[in-house]
Amino acid sequence: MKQHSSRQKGLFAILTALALSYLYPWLYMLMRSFMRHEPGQSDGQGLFTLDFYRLVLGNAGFPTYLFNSFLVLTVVLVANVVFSVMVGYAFARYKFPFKNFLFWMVLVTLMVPKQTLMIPLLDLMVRLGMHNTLWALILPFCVDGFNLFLMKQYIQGLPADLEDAARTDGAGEIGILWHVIAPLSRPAIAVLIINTAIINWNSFLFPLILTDSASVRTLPVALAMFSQGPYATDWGALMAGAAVSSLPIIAIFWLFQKEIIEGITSGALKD
Amino acid sequence: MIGKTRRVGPIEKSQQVLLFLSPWLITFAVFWLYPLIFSLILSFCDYDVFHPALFSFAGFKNYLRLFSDRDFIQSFFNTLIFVIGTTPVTTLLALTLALMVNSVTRGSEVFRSIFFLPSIISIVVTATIFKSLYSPVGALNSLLAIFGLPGHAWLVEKNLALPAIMLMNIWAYTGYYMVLYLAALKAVPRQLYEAAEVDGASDWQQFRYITLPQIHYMTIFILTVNTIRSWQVFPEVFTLTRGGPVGSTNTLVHHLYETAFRYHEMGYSSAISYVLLAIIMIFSLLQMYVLQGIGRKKGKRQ
Repeated sequence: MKQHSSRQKGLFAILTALALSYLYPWLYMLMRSFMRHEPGQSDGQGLFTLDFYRLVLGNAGFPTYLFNSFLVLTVVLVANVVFSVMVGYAFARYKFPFKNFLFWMVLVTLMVPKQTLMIPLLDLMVRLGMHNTLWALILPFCVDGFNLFLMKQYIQGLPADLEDAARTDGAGEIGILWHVIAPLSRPAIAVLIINTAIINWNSFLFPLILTDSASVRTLPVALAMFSQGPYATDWGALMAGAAVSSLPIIAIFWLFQKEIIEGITSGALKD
Repeated sequence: MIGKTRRVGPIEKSQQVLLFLSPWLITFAVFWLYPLIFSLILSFCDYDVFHPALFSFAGFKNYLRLFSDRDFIQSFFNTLIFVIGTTPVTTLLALTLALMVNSVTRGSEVFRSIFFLPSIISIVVTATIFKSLYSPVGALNSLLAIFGLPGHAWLVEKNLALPAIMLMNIWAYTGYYMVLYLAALKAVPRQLYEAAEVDGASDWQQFRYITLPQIHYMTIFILTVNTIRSWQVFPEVFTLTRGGPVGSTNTLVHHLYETAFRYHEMGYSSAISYVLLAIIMIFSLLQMYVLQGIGRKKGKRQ
């Protein structure tokens, strides 16, 4: 027993050391964003200031980017929930021609790297007059192959009795979808929301190429641009920008970490 | 009406199916199939989205050019180094962390959360923080100075920039794969270990002959997913170095971006994107093939 506890102590010590190396960048970000340094002063010596946050939330325009990111995310999430339940239900419960082929195509879309679609997509958005608008960041991402796969698998596993009962009571197919299937699929919808939210909030390449002006910029692109502009080596300003971009997610993570970790894992385990 | 059952005719039913499928059918056709085909056509043409009148057929020119384009060749090998240098390390580190977090009795969930956090934060945020840590007056050099080691301009020196980005990438993504491994470890039946303990198997033997085979499926999954992700490395390169110094951190996707948006050679960049597609497809199919093989073996055993 004694040997066991000394081993636990060693394990705990190693993990603590590693955890500190994982926490350090976040602490550094916070510390640096609140401190003004004179040239030659080392990291711990600065004076407390809110100037960097004033800059980031004022002239640098981060409230606009936050709003854009949030708006795009909200629409994309609602669309993905509604459409994935609809399409997933069709694949799970109906028989129709080319069903296997079409579902196979859902899986194939997951294998093709998005970069291959990038230039035609930009071309299309330019032609539709949606280039440099938030529509370009919303429309192509309203339906996602992984989410369809997830919902189809989940709905297939649900017992059909309730649907049959509702049908006997004269409910239409859309009624069944919203009053029977959707409520029963809540656990899968939660996974879908978590996965989609993380991917969409952090999305970089498409927002970078589909928008030009600051007024439609989302957070990751804005931060990348900010870190290359006139503030490229103004560490306080950059860390405040990084903090404003990441603190909402860090807060949400601490609130829902259990659900988030379960959501991420079930995505990988569903095979 | 006597019966409550509503008879649905075949036409009405197929309309219903079509309605339910329509969001996907439209997205699939407009935002996937059309771009995929158009991209293939573009790869045989000279084209610029912003000057569509200058469209012309180029034959195999774009694909032949790949072999003589030093920047492309460099970006290909940089990405290859990135993949080979990060994927095994990230996977091994993720497994090690998972084993430790799984067996520590105190603070297990806190450790898990701390390691996992970076993987759900935008890599641009991580890159912004590391840009400061890597600066000549940054924290990494201060740390090295404590041990009496010389500092470096990590992102400016030709031989150090790519390894610095790789190190950051490993830091950022290990926690994600650790969480996947943790789930796999939790699924290993406890009786197997109990039986092994009765037989007097050492810790290493238990790991080698029980744990490792039991989480085999997850290892293959992580290796392939990780490889596919790593071939597409881009935001951190864009944020930290823009491919420099002298192309030493130029990766495939970054080169693709540059040819399209800096040099406006979108036909050529489409050809590059098809090279990327081929690479990713090879790994995707490999993954499917291996995992299905394992699934079949497992099915037979049960």
